[in-house]
Amino acid sequence: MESNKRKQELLKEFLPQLEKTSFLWYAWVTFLLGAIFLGVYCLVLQILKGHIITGMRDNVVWGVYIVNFIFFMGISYAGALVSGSMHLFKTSWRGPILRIAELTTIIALFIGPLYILLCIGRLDRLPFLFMYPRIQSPITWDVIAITTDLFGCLIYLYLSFIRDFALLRDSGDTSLPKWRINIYKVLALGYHDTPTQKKRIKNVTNIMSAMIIAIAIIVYSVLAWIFSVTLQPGWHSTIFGPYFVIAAVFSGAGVIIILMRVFRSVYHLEKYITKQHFVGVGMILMVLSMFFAYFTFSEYLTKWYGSKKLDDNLIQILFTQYFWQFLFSNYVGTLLPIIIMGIPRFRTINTITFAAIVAVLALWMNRYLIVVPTLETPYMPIQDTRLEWLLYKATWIEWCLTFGGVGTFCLLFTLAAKFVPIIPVSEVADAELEMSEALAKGQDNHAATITIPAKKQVVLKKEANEL
Amino acid sequence: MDNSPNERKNNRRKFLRVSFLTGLSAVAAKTVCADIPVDPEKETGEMVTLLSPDGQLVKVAKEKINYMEKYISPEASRKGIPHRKFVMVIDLAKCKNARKCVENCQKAHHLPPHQEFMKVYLMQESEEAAPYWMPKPCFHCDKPLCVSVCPVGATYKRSDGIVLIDNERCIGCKFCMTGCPYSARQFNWADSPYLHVDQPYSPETSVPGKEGTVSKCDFCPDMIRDGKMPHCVSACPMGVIYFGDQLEDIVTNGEETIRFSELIASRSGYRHLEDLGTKPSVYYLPPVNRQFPVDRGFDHEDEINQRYKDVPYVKKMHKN
Amino acid sequence: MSYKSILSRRSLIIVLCSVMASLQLAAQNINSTLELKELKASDDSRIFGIKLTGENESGAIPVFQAKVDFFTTADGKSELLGSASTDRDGSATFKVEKGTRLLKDKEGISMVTASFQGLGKLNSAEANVKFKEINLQINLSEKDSLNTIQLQASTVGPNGESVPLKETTFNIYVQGLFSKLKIGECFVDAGAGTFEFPKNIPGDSNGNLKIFVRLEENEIYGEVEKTGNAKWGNHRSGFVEPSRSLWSSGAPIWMITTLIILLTGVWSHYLYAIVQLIKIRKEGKKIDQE
Ligand code: SF4
Ligand code: SF4
Repeated sequence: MESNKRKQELLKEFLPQLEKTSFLWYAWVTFLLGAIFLGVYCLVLQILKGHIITGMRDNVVWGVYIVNFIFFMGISYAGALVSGSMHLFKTSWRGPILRIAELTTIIALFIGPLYILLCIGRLDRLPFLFMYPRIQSPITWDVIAITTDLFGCLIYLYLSFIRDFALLRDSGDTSLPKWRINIYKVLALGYHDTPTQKKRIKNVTNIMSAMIIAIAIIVYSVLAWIFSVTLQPGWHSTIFGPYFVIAAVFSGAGVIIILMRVFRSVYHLEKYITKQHFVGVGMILMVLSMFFAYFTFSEYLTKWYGSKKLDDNLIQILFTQYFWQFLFSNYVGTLLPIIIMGIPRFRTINTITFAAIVAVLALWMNRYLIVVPTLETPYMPIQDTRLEWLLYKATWIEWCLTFGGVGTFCLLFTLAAKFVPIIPVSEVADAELEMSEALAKGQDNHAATITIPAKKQVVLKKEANEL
Repeated sequence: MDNSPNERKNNRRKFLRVSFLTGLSAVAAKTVCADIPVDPEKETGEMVTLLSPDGQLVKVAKEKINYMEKYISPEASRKGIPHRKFVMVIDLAKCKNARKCVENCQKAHHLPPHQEFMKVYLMQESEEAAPYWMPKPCFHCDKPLCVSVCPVGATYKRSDGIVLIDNERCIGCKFCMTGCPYSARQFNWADSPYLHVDQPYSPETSVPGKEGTVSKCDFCPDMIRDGKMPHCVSACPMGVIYFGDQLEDIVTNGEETIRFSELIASRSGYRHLEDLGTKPSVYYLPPVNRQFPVDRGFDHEDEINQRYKDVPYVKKMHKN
Repeated sequence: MSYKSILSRRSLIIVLCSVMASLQLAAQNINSTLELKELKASDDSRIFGIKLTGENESGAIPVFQAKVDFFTTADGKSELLGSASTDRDGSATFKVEKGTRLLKDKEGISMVTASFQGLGKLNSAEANVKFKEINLQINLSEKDSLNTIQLQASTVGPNGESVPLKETTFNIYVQGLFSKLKIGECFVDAGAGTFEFPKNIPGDSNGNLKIFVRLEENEIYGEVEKTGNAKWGNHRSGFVEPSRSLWSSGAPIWMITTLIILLTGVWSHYLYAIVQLIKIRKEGKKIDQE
């Protein structure tokens, strides 16, 4: 079979990444382990000494931790949404970046909930969440939603891996150690690319990708409701659900761009991850940043225009104490992607990556501005004898744990890329095949040409030529 | 001798003995002894009225108060005192920030100096409005958002209107703290000697507190069961705080006893931030015809006065 | 048992030493003050309550376990009624049963004296109350849907005869959880008075009320009290815990159904995916075996 041959060929190309580990790789992993170790050390400190060593106090009861929680969950949902919809709508160029999106989903989904655990005063009582659940509480919704999401993403991810596992199992003359081949063998589930198996996988993947999109939206809305069901003036907002979903996909698209850039140069994937991909995801980023700007604007406009005392307090503090942060997160962070993507001349791989980095940081800051200033302007005025209890300031413990989380994210990504090809080999090979078939057909069949928009066709041709 | 397998029982026994000794020494320290041989076991025959867990008024000799029977376990504390609905009325016209309510509450609940279940705010609705002192406990709302959002049922609304926290159940997620619009809840951020009290834990006393959990004003159900009023009520030298049973329609500040409905009607009682819809059980009487000028309330250490520095009235005061 | 008392006595001694040091007991005697209150209770006994305090620079301190004697005195004669010992608050009560003979002067006025003899450094103290005999009867009746309390009061004339009480105001209370609520006054003249009991007093959960009729701080008769029970309250139904609300332990039905629908919807798809995977595996196994 032609596709099989092509797959093996492709695999050969990627195998070195899985087989050889450079010194640099070890250095990088050691560095990450160092960051993680520091985080673990801080966690132990926090457990031993209590939350007093964080900057959180009775007014600002949640700080950087919950910001990181929203942030990582957002990235995860974005990965799910991007990969799910790319799959569902059969985006032609999805192949090479699909796996990055999927891995982002699952890895961020492991890390996000760790941050909510850091907010919990008594970790020894976590089982109570399952022993005495109250389904009126948004936290219970979240526990259920995240578990559901985690399972769904694992299944989805696995589905997209099976074919590559089978390839790796069958690759024969590799220098991979025996145990790894065995693992691949088990994980491949005896997949042999028979027509029925193929059909099954395709079928299930389609269903699951639709599922994933739906779940991602619900789950992220649930997360938003944790905030918006309370009466806090900065949180009690009906648009928080969609607002959070949009913001999530926005930041997630940014993270995917950054990862694409990183893997492109580290693994020399220039051939596969092309400028076209950057522009593609960059477009998503731009559209979302417009949506995000729109939501942010309408959220703050209504607060600012209306005269409610507490809304006013919040706006006041945002425009004085948090002025620069506000400017960065809600102006720079939304305008930059629009400018860079909107003007074709500015679109280069590096500028797009730059826009993505800014967008991601801005989004993190945006979450911070949603959480902290709101808690600093409660209904009852803050009248405390302890000055350090008035305003929130994250301590080094919180920062170390934040970086520890980022480190874990990078480490898991690094390890995953060591375990499976970062480019979904089977997917790409199949897509190529489909493409050339379509092109071949397109020459003598007008109907097929119509289904592929002209612009895309050019792209496809170009890609086909490049390969 | 005390090798009972039941640890809790053991603890309670220990508690009994310790409290007895400390109680006695407290008496001795405050008592001019009349050179009469002291027999600590002797009963004086004085009776105290108690409210038993099922709501009956019972008379028990003062010396014979059985802590075993009085002890209300976390499980039992989920049921309210039957046929009661407790309310508090705070007369803002009489408050002069004497802070006795704060202090006595802190003492009774073993709170460190900065942690206050009852707080006294200096309120001023706008720059032109008059400032006034506002004591604020937990409002024991009838639609308590704090209870709604708790994922494990560690905080609960009882049939008698009281909202309690079981700190043996609380996982410390702090969601209730963001849920409460009145900043009534506090987190035990660190371990401290104040959390180590040799006494069996009951949500009705909130003692001993536990690190990593939430605590707040509890309306002192242990006192109510004893037929006594919450500590803040009996401590106030101005009689600012009234407490009672809304179903019985009687509230008292210890000196005068009034019908709740009449008090609210005649003095235009209101609830703080009524439009939030949490339906507090604490009512305020507006600060009109005040008995003390607001300045009298500044008669405290700098540290305490410091906290009011953002109030327009205080800002103006400092300017002049 | 014995180790306990030894223990407590030792701690007491230590505490006492410090108390003595701080009070400078050695230097001067301590003045003591005795307060005396009297009440004619509902069962016609008379209750005398005292509070004994010692004075020092930090204020009044209750005297613990002091013996206080009670005398009935009239026209220079004095008889011992009994004695009581103060508790940790410095208070004690002494009850004189109904029918106990109290000495009277020619106007029919009795005087009871409480006396603390003083001991060690503590000075003696004395207090007395005077009162005239009074008989109060109350009758709670329901007539024509009116709830009334009828009061009958008489006092004793010079020759021991019963004389109707004149122009005296009694206070009417009902018992609350913590204290008594005054609901009105009843004026008694010619030995009788009626009080119409208001209809809007809730009472306890069964509508039961404990009613107090009291003569308070009266110069002649002192304090007199009569109690009675009546089911005159109109108790409102109690605070009913809302079943299935956001803040109850059971969740609203719509929440549970929504959750179940969502979860079955999602998880059934998962199940389907897993079943498909199993099928793929089965097929793979077959191929492998071949
Ligand atoms: S005041 Fe706050 S803590 Fe108290 S019952 Fe109401 S919502 Fe809950
Ligand atoms: S902190 Fe405790 S009481 Fe508050 S919501 Fe969480 S578990 Fe419930």
